[in-house]
Amino acid sequence: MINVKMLYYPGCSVKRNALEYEKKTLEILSKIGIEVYELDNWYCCGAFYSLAKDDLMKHIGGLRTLIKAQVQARKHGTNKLLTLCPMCYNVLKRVNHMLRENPENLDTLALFMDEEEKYTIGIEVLHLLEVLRDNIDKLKRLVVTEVKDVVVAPYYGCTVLRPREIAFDNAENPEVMDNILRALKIEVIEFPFKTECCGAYQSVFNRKIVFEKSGEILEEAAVRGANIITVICPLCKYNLETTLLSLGKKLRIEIVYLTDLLSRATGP
Amino acid sequence: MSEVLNRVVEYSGKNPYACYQCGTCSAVCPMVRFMDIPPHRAIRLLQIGAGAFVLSSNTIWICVSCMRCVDRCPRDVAPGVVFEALRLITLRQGIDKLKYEEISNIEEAPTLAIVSASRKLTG
Amino acid sequence: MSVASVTVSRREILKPKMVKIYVMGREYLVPEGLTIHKALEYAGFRLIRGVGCRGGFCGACATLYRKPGEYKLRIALACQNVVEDGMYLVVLPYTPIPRVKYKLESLKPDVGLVLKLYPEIARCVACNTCTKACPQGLQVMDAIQAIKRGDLAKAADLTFDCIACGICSMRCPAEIRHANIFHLVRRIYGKYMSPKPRHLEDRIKEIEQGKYREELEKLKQASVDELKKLYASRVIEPEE
Repeated sequence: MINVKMLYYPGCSVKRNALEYEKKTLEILSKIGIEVYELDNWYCCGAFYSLAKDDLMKHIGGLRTLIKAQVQARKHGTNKLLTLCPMCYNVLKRVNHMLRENPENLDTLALFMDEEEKYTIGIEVLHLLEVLRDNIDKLKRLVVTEVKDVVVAPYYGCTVLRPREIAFDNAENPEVMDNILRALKIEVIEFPFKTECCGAYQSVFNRKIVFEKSGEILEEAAVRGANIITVICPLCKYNLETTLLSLGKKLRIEIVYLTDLLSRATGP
Repeated sequence: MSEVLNRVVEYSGKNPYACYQCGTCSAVCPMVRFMDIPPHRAIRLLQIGAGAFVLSSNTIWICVSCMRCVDRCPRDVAPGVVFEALRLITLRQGIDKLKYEEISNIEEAPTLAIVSASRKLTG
Repeated sequence: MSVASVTVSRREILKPKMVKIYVMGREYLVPEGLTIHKALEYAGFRLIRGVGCRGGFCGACATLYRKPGEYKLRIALACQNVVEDGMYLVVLPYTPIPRVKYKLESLKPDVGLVLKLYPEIARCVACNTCTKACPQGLQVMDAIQAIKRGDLAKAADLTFDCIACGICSMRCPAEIRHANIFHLVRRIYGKYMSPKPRHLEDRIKEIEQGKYREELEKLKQASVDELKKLYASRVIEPEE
């Protein structure tokens, strides 16, 4: 099997709250022939891309990650950087894009970070969904169990497909996750709330917002007959699960990471 | 020309005067029902020099930068980016909106939540 | 042919080379080779703040300085670093970091707890100012990022030599209280994460079970002469 190599950036939440997400993902990736190398001594990317035009300081976390990837890309012979968390993907891809469009920002930052090597904008930031989509044939061949009694509502969240410059699928009606699940013969419902915001960081600021938004997503999924919602983001999972608990388990729905379900279908 | 509008243009690089009030941003905003002033009206208030009114509402603090309005705006007014600039007017004065002592779930929430809230709600 | 003989007085030979330093903006001529503290005393200052152990360990004498023509802000310890010609310096008397109260017994080796006590860690933007400000040359930013990643053991290891001078916290744009955070992490590591010394635990159990009580009682009852005899006849390096 031809092995594709990739660098891997976990992000702070995967390593702390979502270890099972990482474990199942690495299993699936090794089954389809992708070898990942976790970045050495990686830094927090900042979780949200800073939108102000003059604010370069907030991009430094992302830039340092990209420079580390650049150094280790030479060691491992690959310039692809895989991310699991869609917020990390969002930040890193947009920082990459911003530096390419504004080389004077790159110069200013290089002058400030005078002890690191200069970033040459050579890293390709990828999200797990893209990688799975590109290997969908290999996934099809790996199906060993038919996952029965499972009706899935795929949930994408906000940050993996917006804004347009980082999207790898239609932001209004994405089909990436749906196709991956269908390829593994898992039943998928049509879910119009698949890109509706779960409430994001309002879970630590204004929890009422999260309960209402996540509550709507859960109820819509239940009404359409789903018993599983697949997620790709640790924060979305936390928001949906805490809302589910607060509804007193009236809804028979389970929140599951996408690769967990894929793992069940492709056997141990 | 209002001081608020000047700062908004400086921080965001966007032009609120390009908005022709089509209302698409408010239609796609997931948080609009929690806001005092919907996005399209906030831009209008900026246009007529009433930026201070927007600053005193809760609109910009309810916004979670989901980028739907930025994607959809036909005139590249990008309300999401304008709101970030409005947030920065307060935050850059050293006024933090997030009070860590009031977060009841700071231990269980994923690190993501606290880091992103710190980025958007503290200076 | 006469060799020009130059008589140099003893005084001239012993006179040290002088350098110019600027303490809080005022120029002083001090002998080169003195530490900053000694140079200040030579110049007539009486040190009552910004001075401590004078051995490079207590962190009281953190000094900021610049050389003329450079923008780089440099850090030194006044008791260790020697004066350089053209130094514009100030010795900082105090870094304000009040203690956060916690009970070590009710903590766990969990990042969530560290974040609860010191939530400003989430504001770190990885600017690296703290690392550049450390007089001990520690990897300060790496330690904070290790905590963010959840790796408390690594943070404890990286900050072992921290003397809590506080310069990193003064310079940090996110207002992080490094010294106290590292102290907490090292304490958590020591209590909950580092491997336990088995021989110490065994010995404590033996003492609690009274293995040495009889011997100690005998010694307590013994007279001064008996004690002197026992002491003089002790085995200095036992074979077992």
